[in-house]
Amino acid sequence: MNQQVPKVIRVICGELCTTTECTASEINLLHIDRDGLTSNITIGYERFVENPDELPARILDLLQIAAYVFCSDRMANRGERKSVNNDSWARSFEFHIPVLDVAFWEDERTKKALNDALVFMTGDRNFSFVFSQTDKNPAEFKYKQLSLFSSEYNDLSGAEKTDIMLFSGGLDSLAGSVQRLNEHIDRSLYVVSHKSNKSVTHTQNALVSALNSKYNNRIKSYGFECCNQNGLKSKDETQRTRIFLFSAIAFSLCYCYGKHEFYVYENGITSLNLSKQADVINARASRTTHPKTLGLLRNFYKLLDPSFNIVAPYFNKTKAEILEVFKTYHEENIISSSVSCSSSRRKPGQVPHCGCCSQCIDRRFSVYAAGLNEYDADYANDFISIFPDDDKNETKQRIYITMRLANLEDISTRADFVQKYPSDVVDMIQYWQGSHNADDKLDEIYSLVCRYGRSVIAAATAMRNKYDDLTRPINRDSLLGILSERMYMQTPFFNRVEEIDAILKKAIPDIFQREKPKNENDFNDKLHGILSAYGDFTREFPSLLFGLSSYRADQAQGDLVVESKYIRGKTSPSVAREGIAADITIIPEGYGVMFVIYDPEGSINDTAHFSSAFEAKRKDCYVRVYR
Amino acid sequence: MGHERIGFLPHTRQWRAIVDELSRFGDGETSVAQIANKTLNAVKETYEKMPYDESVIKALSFIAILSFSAKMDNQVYFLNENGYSVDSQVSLFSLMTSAQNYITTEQGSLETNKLAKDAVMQAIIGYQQQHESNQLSMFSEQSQSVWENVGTGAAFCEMVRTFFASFTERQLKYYIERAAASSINDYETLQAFNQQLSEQSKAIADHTFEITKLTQSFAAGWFNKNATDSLPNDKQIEGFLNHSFSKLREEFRREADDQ
Repeated sequence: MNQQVPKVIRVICGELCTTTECTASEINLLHIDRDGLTSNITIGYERFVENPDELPARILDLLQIAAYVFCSDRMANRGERKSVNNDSWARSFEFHIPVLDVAFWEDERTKKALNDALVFMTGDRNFSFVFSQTDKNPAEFKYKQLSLFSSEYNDLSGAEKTDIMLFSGGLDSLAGSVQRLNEHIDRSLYVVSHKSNKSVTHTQNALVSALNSKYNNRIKSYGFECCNQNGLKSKDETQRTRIFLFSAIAFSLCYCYGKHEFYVYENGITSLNLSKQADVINARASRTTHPKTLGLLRNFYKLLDPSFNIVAPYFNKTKAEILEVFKTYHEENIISSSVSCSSSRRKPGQVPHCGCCSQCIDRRFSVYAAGLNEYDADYANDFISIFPDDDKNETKQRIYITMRLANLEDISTRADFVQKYPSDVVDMIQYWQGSHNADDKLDEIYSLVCRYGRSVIAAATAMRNKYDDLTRPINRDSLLGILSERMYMQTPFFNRVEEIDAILKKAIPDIFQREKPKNENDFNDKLHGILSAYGDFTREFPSLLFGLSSYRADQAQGDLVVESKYIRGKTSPSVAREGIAADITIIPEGYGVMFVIYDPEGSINDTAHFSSAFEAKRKDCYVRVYR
Repeated sequence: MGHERIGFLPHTRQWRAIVDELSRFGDGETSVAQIANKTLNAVKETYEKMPYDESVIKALSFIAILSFSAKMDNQVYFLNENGYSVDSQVSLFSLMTSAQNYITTEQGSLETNKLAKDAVMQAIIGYQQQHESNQLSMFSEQSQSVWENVGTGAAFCEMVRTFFASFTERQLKYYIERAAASSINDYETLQAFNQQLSEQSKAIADHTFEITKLTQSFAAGWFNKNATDSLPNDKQIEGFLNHSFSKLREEFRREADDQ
């Protein structure tokens, strides 16, 4: 974390190159052989659309800029993972790019929008651009050369009934395409991908082919090629700018065919990608589809098309929730064909998943949580029964930090969550698509995190039930080993309250539909009946000491106390309020408390305010109102 | 697209010793204070530069401006004239957003920048929670009075103390959490360690500010002297930071020696 003058990496592009050498301080990128220099990157204009050289100047420029940014990102080292202070992580770039529409790109608003989006998505320090005028069409030369032999360009005939979405070949985008194909039966899908390597392209093609055979050829796919050529060895594979390239391709297609939006199907937890370990900050947890990344990209693309939008339909869903799509549309069998792993580590045979990277771990927990593990793909390593032999204990570390987040460690309340991730919360809330009010947005985000936590705990329980063999000793270096400590099984108060709330929301209106409780005691007795059916709840127990007197909880389950208030007739909300205030004071620290308020006449005008006023007064205090 | 690059500690003798120390934590053979002290030794050079870091200076300046603004007739106007972007109610969310935009760095470490921003935000969140008597919502509907009353040495000191506790805890975890899996074998111990590290950081910040009289004779005094009639300049802030970081460091060393 030393203060030092950051080095600027100059990136010289296209016709401005006088060499194709790449060093730590200067990167030269050329996609067409010229002036005796051999190209060192590929930009796949030729199969983009018919006559790519006739694309609008700004679109040609955009594709070129995105390709140069992506290739230079891979060519600039970000330091070692064992770097103490991550001094080399944040880089500064200065791009020199010849463009056709220099007036647009040199505009300070354009440069600022581009820099803002790139800085946030990468965690880099700065992206400055010096654009110069050129009259050489970047698509012309290669296209003319190849078009003699190939006409495999995109054809979006019937584009008015076609939607465009990003398609990685992973579970989320696959679920998105299945859902769209089923919900919009008169529309086609154009799925856009970046051809990063043969294996990924093969997966994407296989999935498109499988969907086309079932959905009457309603999918067209386009994979844009952009990569370093042989001999230009990449220095970094975090590829944080990939979403810029990916979105630029999708935007360009939209622009060509008069579309004003494209879809990004990614679950909310992966998009927010909360830091699970204190050093994983500044985009070392990828912000590829973070609400702010998409928001800043949206701002940038609005400069090219003021009515443009990027839609992220799964922004408020966990991966386990998304997987329900496969059940709904009876598409479970296609799950195993999708590939989530992006690890470059060697995988034996044809197994596409390493089983150790964050994507594989996340996928595995999610399919177990959704009860779809029988349909999942194979994994080269099985962390459930043994961690792989990696010298840094990396898989074990990943499992630990995943379980810590799932267990809501340090974030068992909404307030704790904000305290732990304050600047991240600001970034999320500013660009969260849900409610308008900051508090409501926070509620939605925190609820998403809690649902994720519950899904991981449920998945871990399912894994243990399936794998735990009582006749054999548990390997401590495995998920089962971690679970044997049982600490993860201690469900946080919030999760337990949410479960009780889900039960009572349905049960209370049903039970008291015809006959209301006679009094609070009667309400408590009936509540006990409901709760006892779902868990081991005690009534008027335990007796807790408060000063010299004792206090008995209405209901309790272990260290969670459930207190009830019945508002009717003469018992006004203010009486309930006083009762709650008194209980909050009496119940000792260390206990969670849930207030169950039955208000059949709707005497409490604003239940959200009523609840939050008390919840802020005490840790692990929850107020739920039922009508 | 959810790639996550987790970091590791270098295999140097100094860091290996810290990892060994961590692995003995569960057996009660070492304390959090000793591990924290050794970690701060390992990053001595970095730690000593903190008072001069652009982000840390701006973080303290942010708190000083907030305190100073309470003396103004029109607090909202004053804050917005001085680099904040607060709403008419000075809501917590607008204050946090202001901190996000205010604490930037051209050339300093972006790692320190993130820790400093989070620590300042934690300080103002904590202050509001402590002093808001009728809190209906966390972000939106604040009564302005909380921030109208922060123009005292005591209020400044309270926020600064939380800032130092939070910054220290975040800084220590930034290094130590990387070694958790390779050094601590069970979750219970890991959880206990994390909890104790948070408590220790807070206790040491409290202790430093109370026992070493940073509260009365320095922090409050410094605020009253330097921020009564005008805002403190960067040199004055550097001086304050230098003194406070040195005292904190001494306290960690003393705490470790006592155990």
